[in-house]
Amino acid sequence: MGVSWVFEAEQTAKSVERILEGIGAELMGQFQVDVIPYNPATPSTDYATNIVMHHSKCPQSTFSICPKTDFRVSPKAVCDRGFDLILGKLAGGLVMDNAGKIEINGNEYNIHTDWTVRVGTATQGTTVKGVVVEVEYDPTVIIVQCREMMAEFIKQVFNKYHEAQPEIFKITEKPERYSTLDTMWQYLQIAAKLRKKT
Amino acid sequence: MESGSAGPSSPEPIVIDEEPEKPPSILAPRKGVDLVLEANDDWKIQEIGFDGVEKYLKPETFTDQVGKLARRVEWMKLVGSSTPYENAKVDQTEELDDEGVPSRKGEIGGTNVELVTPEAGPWSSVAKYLHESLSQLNVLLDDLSVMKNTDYMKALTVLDPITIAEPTPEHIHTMRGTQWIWKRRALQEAVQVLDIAQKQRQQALRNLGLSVDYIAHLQRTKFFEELKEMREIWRVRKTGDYVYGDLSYRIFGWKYDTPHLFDISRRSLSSKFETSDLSIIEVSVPKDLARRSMLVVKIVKDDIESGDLFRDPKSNDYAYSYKEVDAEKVKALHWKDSLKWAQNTLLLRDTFNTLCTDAIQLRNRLSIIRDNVLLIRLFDDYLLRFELQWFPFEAGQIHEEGDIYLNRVLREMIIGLQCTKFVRPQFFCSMPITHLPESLDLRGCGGFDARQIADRAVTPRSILDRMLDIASHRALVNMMTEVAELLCGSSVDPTIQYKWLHCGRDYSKMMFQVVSKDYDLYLSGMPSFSSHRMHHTFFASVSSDDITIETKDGMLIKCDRDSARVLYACQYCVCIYQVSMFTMVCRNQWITPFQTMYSNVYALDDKGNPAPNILLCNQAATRSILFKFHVGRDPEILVRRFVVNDKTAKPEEHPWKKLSYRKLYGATFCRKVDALLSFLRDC
Repeated sequence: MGVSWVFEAEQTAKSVERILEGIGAELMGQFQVDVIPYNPATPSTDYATNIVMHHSKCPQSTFSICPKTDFRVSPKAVCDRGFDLILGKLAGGLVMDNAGKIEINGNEYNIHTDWTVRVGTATQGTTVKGVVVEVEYDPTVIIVQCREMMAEFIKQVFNKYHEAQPEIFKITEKPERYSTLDTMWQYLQIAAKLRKKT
Repeated sequence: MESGSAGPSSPEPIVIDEEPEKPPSILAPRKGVDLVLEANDDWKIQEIGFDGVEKYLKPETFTDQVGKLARRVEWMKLVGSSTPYENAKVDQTEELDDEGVPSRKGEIGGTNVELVTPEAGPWSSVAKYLHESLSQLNVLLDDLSVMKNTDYMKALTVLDPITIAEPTPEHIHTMRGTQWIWKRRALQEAVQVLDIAQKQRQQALRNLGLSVDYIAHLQRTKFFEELKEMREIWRVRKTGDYVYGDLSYRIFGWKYDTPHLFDISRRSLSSKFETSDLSIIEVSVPKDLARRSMLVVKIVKDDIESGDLFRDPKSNDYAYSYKEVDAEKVKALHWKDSLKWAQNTLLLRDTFNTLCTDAIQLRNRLSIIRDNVLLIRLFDDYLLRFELQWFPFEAGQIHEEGDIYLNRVLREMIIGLQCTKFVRPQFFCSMPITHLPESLDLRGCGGFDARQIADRAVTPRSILDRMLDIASHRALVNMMTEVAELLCGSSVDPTIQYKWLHCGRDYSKMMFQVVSKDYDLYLSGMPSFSSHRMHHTFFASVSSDDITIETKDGMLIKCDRDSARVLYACQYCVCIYQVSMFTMVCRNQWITPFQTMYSNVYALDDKGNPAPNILLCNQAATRSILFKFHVGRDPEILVRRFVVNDKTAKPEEHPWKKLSYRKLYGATFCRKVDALLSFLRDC
């Protein structure tokens, strides 16, 4: 458990990996994230699209967020993988949108035990949409403690993406806990952006 | 026509048709004269009823006339007045025999004068015969009824020999016929009696249940009753005509495996209904399970010097004895015993195999397996030995070897493992189920990552692991007990007592209490110094890896598994106690008032061993005493003149004088201290 910063990289996954290996990162394994929208069967104003996500870091969990205008008002939930099976039974109301499913597959690196960086290629169907990087700082779960340090780290490693801090970093003032749902929200935003890209 | 004679005549007037020749015509007027015929003599009317019926006086008949005339005759004149009754002339013999028996008139006449006997009449003899025959008939009827009611009387027939006179030769041929008849009748009677007897006996037999049908019925009932009893404990199944049961002990697994089945059949008992010890159900047991077994656990010391082997390679107890098993002998045992033993054998055999498999997989522990013995290293020089012993498949007590506590714990773990469900069962719910074990249900909902899940995961430990922990704990507990016994036994002053505060499978705690005789008053009388009381108790905690001595003020002395170190640590705690007792004694304001200048429980002596010390000085500040408590030895006592400061006295001029603890006056330590302090009080 730690604080994660997810961003889209404008370079290939291979080049990111090379950078990481250059700073002494160790390849730990593979990771996979998927973002699946569930649309209402008949378009209606009552029901909104629900997005269901999985992350290989939490192998037993399913994350479900219904994105509304603001992060705070969007209903979010964490459940065990049985949630997918339940959704299957609710096919009358919510239909899985396979076309809109975005998968991010790639490698996971560990730098000096505290930092975990995941580099993955985002694909929608067969088309590659982009490269997503997740930087996780393990020792703490309090955002206000580490956001500056994370920005510094990214600046040092990539020298590019450190200015665009994630929303959660910006809006949190008090020492609140960071949860995996916040990471998934970041993935959700990025996936929405990627979907719009060609 | 007229009728003029008396006689019955019809009273009705008869109207005669005067002109009978003429055919009667309907409308022809009648000619002639009307004639009316009437009897001359009509019966006289007695009366006329109100309904008009006339009652006539019947005229007299012939007998009436005779009677009327007879009444007019004067009979008395004919007969005479002296003989009023005619039958008085007849005597008794005449009554009996009508045919000319001479009568004796004289006597009769005499009696007749006194008694008035009734006149018999001409039919008297007939009446007498009738009466006699009727009375005989009555007698006969009575006899018959009596004979009917009594069982031993039977009416004989006319042809009976009793009534027959002795047979003359002329009658023999006729007699033979009757004899045959009589014999046949006699035999028939005998047959009847025997029939009755047989019926009675058969009834009696039926009630006792010795008839063949009844035996079969009883056996069947008994069979099904025992089968029901068996089903309460064992799984029994029937396929077609074949009844069999399952010996496997698994609750959540495969059942009715072919190698673990036993057959059930009905034992054919002899037709005699003798209650036998054998049950009606015969059970056949798989041959390889037809022996009794026991799993024995023991802690053995690996002693290189001793020449004994852990297992005698020549002993044949473990040999595959199933070839020698006699199926008939197995069937002769009661099913309750044979099935229980066979299942136990199966269970222990499987457990031993599991233990051996686990032992091989343990990397950091050496183990040896030979036939039916498993040796695995416990700690230091100790080994844990598992042995699977076999015994013949007979009734009898099996001598339990090894450590009984460990045997029981092992058995409990085996059964517990069988009864634990490791997979969550399916509940009836409309939601799809997951395959998560129950204890980890929060993994998904909590959003735990893989490392956290692994940390929180409950891994079932194998039986061997748990047995190793328990066995090593047991060995350490035994060691601790020995040390405690040694310590408490050897220490007379102060008195040390120990007791177990908590005894568990892998953790136990022992408490030691140190008591000084006669000086307990000091403890009770000085509540302000309760902090000193804490030195009177110390603890020993035994886990499965090591022993730790703890004092009440939080000092922990780790002793690993070394009994010498444990003893040393306990003795050290006793030294600390002695220091505190010392201060207690010298608190006495009146007799031995001494001031404690300095005391250090953690002090070390020259060699670096712990040696608590205490330095006191008397009220007059003239003498100072130094006590050094060595562990396991007598305390060292040093005395010298008190040095106030360098100006008044030089420390070199007043050396420490050593006193011998043994030679001090007093039996116990406290008394010696008391005596010493009182000596040096005013010195």
